[in-house]
Amino acid sequence: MAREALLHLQQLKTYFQTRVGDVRAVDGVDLVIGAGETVGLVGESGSGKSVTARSIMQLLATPPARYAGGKILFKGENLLDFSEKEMSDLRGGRISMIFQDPMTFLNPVFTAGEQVAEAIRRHQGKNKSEARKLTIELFRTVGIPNPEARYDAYPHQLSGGMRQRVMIAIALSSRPELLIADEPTTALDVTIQAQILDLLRDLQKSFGMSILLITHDLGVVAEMCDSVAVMYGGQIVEQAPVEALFEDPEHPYTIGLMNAIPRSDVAGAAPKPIEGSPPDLINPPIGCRFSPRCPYRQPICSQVDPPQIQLSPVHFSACHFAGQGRFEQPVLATRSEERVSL
Amino acid sequence: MSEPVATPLLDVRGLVKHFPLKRGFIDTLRGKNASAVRAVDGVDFTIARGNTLALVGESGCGKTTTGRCVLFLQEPTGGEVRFNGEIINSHDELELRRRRSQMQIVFQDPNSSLNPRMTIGQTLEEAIAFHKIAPRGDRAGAVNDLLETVGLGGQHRNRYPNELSGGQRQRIGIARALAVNPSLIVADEPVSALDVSVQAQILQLLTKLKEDRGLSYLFISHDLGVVRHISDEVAVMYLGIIVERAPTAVLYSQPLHPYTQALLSAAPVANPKLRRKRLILPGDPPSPVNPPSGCRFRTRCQHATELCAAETPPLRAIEPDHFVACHFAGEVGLDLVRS
Repeated sequence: MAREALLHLQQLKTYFQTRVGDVRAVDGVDLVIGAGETVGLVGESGSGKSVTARSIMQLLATPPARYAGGKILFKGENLLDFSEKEMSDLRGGRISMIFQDPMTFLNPVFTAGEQVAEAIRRHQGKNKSEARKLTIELFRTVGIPNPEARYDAYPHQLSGGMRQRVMIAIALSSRPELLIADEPTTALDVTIQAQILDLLRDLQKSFGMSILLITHDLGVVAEMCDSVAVMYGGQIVEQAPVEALFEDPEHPYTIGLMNAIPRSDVAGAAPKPIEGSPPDLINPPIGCRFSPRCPYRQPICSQVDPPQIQLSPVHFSACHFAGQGRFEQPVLATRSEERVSL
Repeated sequence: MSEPVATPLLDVRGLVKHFPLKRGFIDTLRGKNASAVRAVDGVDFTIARGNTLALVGESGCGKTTTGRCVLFLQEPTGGEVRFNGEIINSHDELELRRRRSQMQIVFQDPNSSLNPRMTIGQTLEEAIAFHKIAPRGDRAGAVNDLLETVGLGGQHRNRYPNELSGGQRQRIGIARALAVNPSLIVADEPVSALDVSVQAQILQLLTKLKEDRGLSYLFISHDLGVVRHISDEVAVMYLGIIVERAPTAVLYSQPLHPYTQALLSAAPVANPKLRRKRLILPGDPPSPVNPPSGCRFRTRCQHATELCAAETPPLRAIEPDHFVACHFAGEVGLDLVRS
């Protein structure tokens, strides 16, 4: 691949021990994030997207979690070989993470400003007054109005959108090379979500970092990402540049997801459900994990693991029948206001 | 679409719900006025039999409170609710109980609305027994019928809620509401907690039930995509009031209130070719304790003028079925969305 890989996951396996057997939450994930790139990781609950993110940061408690195999290469170094000291320098330093719910991330007994300043002092060795100055500057960068006053505000005194901005400020304080954003706008209202997505896009331009964006929302993916990986049952089933994925999805699960979105642009196209429910990851189905729910399944699907079919140098699909023109393609969304302005 | 002669199934007029705030002792001494969270501040709407009205808005706009007040799960501060043309007297316990077999609610989170210590069968039977829907001997059959109606089977009777998936639990939530044969269901964000693939299953079920049983829904949601496929009419709420109400197709093709336009513009579209500058509302919604004077949306509206601060725009009919609370509805309308 031509682009330089900042992060490269190779056959990553993260399992959780339970009394009834290992839950294979992440089961052989390959993913490349290039420098300055935004990669979306999409999937439904339980597909393993958050566990993938937390594995990169090694935020999972071990046990029950266990890194059962594979490599996490960050600029060529395997993070799984790092000591806890090295990892804790890396976290919030060269790799930062933001979460869905800032209320559980922020400490309620410290002011917003103190928490950002703490991160600056921890990773950049600044003194108190320098850190304060940098914090106020960062607050301005992330669009917090009246930053001097907000420095002394406690998290509960801020709105949801503002808290999200504070968390982003903490994540960016170290000028990370990679930002992992785990459902950063899921808990927000749609107008606030639009503000935060806009902010992330601007910040990426000015900071030049890579973003791994974890979301269940294909709309957010379409707006934000350069390339996308779709996860199902602990595995990546399709991976492609964003335009290719939306224009020519080649995995029945990706197509199913697209058809299931209730859309505000077409009146007639009712959302189509995917029948059945996600697989049990203790005893995953043999062969393709999506096969029990797949409208295109054939006998081979529940017998043989699907190969990674390469549809173009950057487009992969883990389906026996990818690229054969068998799948009915979804209709792409249009913007409702385009019809308004007619 | 509108039959002015027929009595609407549900007719809500001037509904108000204020939650009083506690006043400190010092404030009382100083004679400071008691304040309140004005969650719902004068809402009117009707739902015709067999129709679905969607209440759309962001968190804190009062949509859930409106739904709860309609069922008298919360006592409204003012206004009246007519069901089948009769005013509901909320002080008459017996009447309320009778009404509740006609009006039911489905909640967002089936985890917290199902009793974890009761099996699915017990949960459903309780509703049937309480409202004396079926005699004792027939209850088991009635439960099985209900389970089948919502796409489950008799094998689920003896399961506990924790043994079911999120989608199945929501089906039980719906089955419980159906147990008493209601004619109106208030569905409060019934699919928000579900994954898209399962969400579509539940939407399909709700649509089918509406067709088969002639149900009416008051469908509360923040998701304009979901609402488009389930409702006949949409009312958009902002800070305790309805700012726009129109038949679904009209609202999506000709949104006239700047807030509706912003909501539609802000929703991400699943097509990377359509990325572009969107209309992004600045700031956060103001506090419902002290809503802005005049038009409540003016603090975030790019078209606000002095008039908007001075005078409250009434919800007026621009077309027979299309109501908008904006001084400039139809004038500033359409250019906005291109910004």
